[in-house]
Amino acid sequence: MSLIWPDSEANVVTNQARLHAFVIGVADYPHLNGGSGPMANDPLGLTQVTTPQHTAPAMAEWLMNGHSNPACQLGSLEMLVSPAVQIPVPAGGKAPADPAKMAEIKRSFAKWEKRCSSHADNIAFFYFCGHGLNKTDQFLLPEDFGDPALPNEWANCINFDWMRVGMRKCKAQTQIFFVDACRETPFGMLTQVNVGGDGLISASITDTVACSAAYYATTQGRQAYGPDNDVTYFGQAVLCCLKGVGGLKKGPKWVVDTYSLGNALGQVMAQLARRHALPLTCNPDVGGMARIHEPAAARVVAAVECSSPAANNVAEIILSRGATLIQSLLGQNKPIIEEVEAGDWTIDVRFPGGQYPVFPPQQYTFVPPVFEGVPVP
Amino acid sequence: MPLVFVHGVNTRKGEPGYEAQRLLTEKFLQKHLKDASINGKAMATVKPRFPYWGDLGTEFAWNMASLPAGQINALGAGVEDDLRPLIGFIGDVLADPKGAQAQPLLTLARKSLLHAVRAVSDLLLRQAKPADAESVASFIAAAQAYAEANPQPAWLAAITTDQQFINKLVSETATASVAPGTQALGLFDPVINPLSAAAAKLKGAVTSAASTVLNKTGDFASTKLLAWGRRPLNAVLGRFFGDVFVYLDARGDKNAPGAIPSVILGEIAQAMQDGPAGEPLVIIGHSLGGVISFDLLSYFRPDITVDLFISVGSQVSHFEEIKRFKNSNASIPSAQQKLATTPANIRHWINVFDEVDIFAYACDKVFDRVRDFRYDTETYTIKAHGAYFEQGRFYQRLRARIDQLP
Amino acid sequence: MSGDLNITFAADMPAASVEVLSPDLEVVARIMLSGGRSRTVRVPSEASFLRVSLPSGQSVILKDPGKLSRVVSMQSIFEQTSASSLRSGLTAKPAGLIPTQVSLEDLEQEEYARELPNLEAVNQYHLRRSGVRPVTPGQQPRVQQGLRLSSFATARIRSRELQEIPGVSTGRGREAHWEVEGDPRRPPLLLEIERPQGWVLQVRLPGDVQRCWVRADVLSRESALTFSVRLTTGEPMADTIMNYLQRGDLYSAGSMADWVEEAEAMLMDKRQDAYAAAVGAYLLLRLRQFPRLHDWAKNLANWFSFLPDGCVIWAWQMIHQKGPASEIRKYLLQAAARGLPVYTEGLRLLMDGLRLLGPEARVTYEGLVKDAREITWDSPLTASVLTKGDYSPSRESRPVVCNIAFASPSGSQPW
Repeated sequence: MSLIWPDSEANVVTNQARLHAFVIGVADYPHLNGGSGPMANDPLGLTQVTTPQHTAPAMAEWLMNGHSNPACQLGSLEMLVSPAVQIPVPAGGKAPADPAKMAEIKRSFAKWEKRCSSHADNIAFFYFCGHGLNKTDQFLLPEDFGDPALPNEWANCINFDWMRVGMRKCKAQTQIFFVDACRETPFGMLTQVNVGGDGLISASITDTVACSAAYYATTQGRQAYGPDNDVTYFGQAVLCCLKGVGGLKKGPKWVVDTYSLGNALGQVMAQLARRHALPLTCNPDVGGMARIHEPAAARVVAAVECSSPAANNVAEIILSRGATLIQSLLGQNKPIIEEVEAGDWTIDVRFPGGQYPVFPPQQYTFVPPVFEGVPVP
Repeated sequence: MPLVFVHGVNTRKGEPGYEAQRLLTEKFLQKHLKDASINGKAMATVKPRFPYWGDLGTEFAWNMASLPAGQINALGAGVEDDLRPLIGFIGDVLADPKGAQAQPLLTLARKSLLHAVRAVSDLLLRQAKPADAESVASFIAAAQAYAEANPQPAWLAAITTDQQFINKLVSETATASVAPGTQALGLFDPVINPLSAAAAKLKGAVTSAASTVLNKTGDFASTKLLAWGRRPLNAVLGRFFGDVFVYLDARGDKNAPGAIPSVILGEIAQAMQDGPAGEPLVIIGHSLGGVISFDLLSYFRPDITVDLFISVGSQVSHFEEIKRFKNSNASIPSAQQKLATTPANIRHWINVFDEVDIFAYACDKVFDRVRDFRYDTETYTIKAHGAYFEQGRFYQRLRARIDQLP
Repeated sequence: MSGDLNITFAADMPAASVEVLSPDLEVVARIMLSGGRSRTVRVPSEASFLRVSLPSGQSVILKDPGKLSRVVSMQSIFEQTSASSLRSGLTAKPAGLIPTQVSLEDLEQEEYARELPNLEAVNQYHLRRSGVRPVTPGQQPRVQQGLRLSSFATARIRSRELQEIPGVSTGRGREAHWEVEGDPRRPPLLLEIERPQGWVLQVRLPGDVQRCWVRADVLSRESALTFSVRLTTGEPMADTIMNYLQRGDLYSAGSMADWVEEAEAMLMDKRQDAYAAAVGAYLLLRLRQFPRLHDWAKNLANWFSFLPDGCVIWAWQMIHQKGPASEIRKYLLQAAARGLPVYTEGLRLLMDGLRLLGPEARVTYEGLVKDAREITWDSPLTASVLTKGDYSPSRESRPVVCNIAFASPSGSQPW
């Protein structure tokens, strides 16, 4: 089964604007290194991973329980995860998500696209987490990629660039894609002449889309990363931005739209790179503006340190707002990088050893997405 | 432990492979010599120094244009010069080299995993850029250890392509390539790319050779191999003699050491200063590096006491036979003294040679107090001279010899 | 208490996007200002404050509650600037928009020559570097066969006629610098960075490029060899827009949409700045503000045969506005025939357009892919890696990162 929510196709609303999501997470590749099946003729240096099986459910959880957009509520969640998992649903209980093999992906894609096309004001939401490769085009690998039994080794492979262009055929005028995968070109790809993939859908020049936004977990030629057995860093950044760090206040509401998300994601990834000392980058490609989500409150990633490494080494930094206190004492790592409430915060920088003058606590306004500071000493 | 490794001929920094080779040697030395005891002193820390004198070596005015080419090259025009010995070696190892064209590495691995590991290691080292050096050196050390411990792993029978072999070998020997606790949604080990490229190059060379050399000669007979391999062999010989002449011409004397002695003596002095105190001083000389080291210890600086001198693939006894050392005594051998005297400041001396290595000489028939030991690199002529330090087995045997010292 | 907030940029300020926020963080207005200009915005409270999004990527909050007339100057920005921008320790004094002239010897100092540890430091370095400009009084730089980038590569800039533009080596051989003084009526130039292994990075430069510099660093955090490229053109507004677009900051880029009409005028007047016009058009395409494009994109396509971007922009405007399919096809194919667009945005749109043409354009698409080789998609300018011999970028066991951006005019300050 691939429709996780609602519980049946009959309950999918098609006559009103809805956000229809298709989430794919692939953490089981039988034909790649360490896999349980016959090995691909060239596994391309790819092995088993675990982060997608945490990332996809986390995205699903937010979509079902966290997404809020009165003009375009969640309409459906189509989901495929390898290895197959049970996904908790809001009504209680769990729904099984089928494995993300190519045949299942094609079937689910067709259903998802049909739902998206049911109303021009729908939002088509696509999230893929798993192995990815790039050779001019971006390829996303389903579970059964590299099956040596097939004459065409690239038969089970999604050509994402063609897919995105092809989605212009879909009637939904807002289309949002998240590619949480690597964009490397392994040597083995260069020696193969017929590298290809299935675009899943095709369009023509008469097809248009008002807003098409793609957010890539990394820049071309680079890897995407995640902690073992947890959500990928890009996934963490996406969720954090959707939940408020990517928010912009329009009137009385906080809004995350395609522009603000693109702007926020890059800045958040930069802070994650600092915190984890990893080469994290991301790459938004946004055309057209559309509202995705209305978080209840805004959040900010605060990255606070002194103005020099020498000062950091002898400083204590305390952030406070009401009863909330965040601190990095002497000897603890700096910068402090934490996701906090937006608004006014007090930052107190102290030098217990007296190496620098005394600076009184200062008030700063933390506005999404990122606050970096402070000019002390 | 102050340990100085003096390189031999044809070593040029900046060329592909230099840094990877150096790192590989360092890794093996650290792994195998740690806690060895010499003269009652323990090697608690192994931090080798690698004095570099390659930029002071020979140069060829016409880039070795004097080497004849022509008909011999037609035998294997599609194969680069320095790959030919390797291709020939593979052909010698395999019963049916022509049949190995499709998957040469896998075919070789099924015959001998260690040979296959050495073949790819050889290719990797040739091409390894400084940025790749660490991952290449780590892979080679790990892959060799794996192949020695698992000469015929079960998975070899289950795979069918060279690419699968590469991937499987790396996954069996993988070291962490990203931060602990982090995984990449992509290549699991950065060494896969250069390794895949090396395998592709090998396959291309084997295919090319099979379509020309075999057709013309019918087999890889050693004489044909030698003819086909003349260019690379001559290149090695040329550089060897060139570096020897440069050293002999410009070594200077005790009061005014030449450039090469100065560089190496400087590193020895630094190694002694860095210590730590109480650990043995060890000097390893490879090829001409052994000759130079011996010259330095016997003439330039007889005041430096070396706990252990190790000459590997070296020509020390040969130079003594032709009396080319500064302190060579022309009157020896004589009725009174059959063997030349090993300098007193060399407390122990181990000399290693491979009989296949045409640049390596035994010493115990020329010098007193030297311990010769034969080491079989199990490779081909041109390769043997450089192979010692690429093989974990060599360091294991060396350690065993060190442990046997009084 | 509500009122009219007047915001003035001091003469030394570069063009930048300014958000006016109410005390409850609502974005009341988003405007673009440049040096010497001012705007008035209706605000709900005197406690409203400003967030200036500098082209460099830094954002600065400026608060002055109670005052309904605010002057934003480089000094006020500097006083509020975050810690990260002061980490460098560079001692250059604050200057105006015009870079400080320094001698070549000054650029040999340690601060320009030392290896940078990570991409963040590279970006910070270039902010500072934008503020200085080497001069060689009394002596023209020699035309060299490439300028050294440490031991990693050589770099050169060539015209379409393959004439090499003279430059200088700085940073103790780590950097190469050119004062190009380009002309917007000129075809694009080509920056080439060539490594001895047979790896060549080619970056298309707009014909109106004024300054360009390149450096090589081995980044310890990313374990990567990085070539970073920065340039300025004759139109700083276009550079600023490209920086915003490159970072995905479409709101800030959008605030500059009014400037685009000036760019259209530039196309018509004697300056004939096709490059600035192309940048403006790309912005409007992204923002989906097609009516503002009018039909001058067609002029861009027809008047400037050296610029494939014009054809791409016009084709896509017609796609969005449902123009005749035959015309769309004609201009897409014409763009491909003219070669690679100068801007990556144009290459992306061209490839997407050819995909949409379907099987009839398959051969053209594959030819373009072949010409494009390995594209650095996060570069604002079309940058591709070519290889010679049997070299392959995928043989690298560590990434080679190409970090290409327009220099920030606000880099005249020591950020």
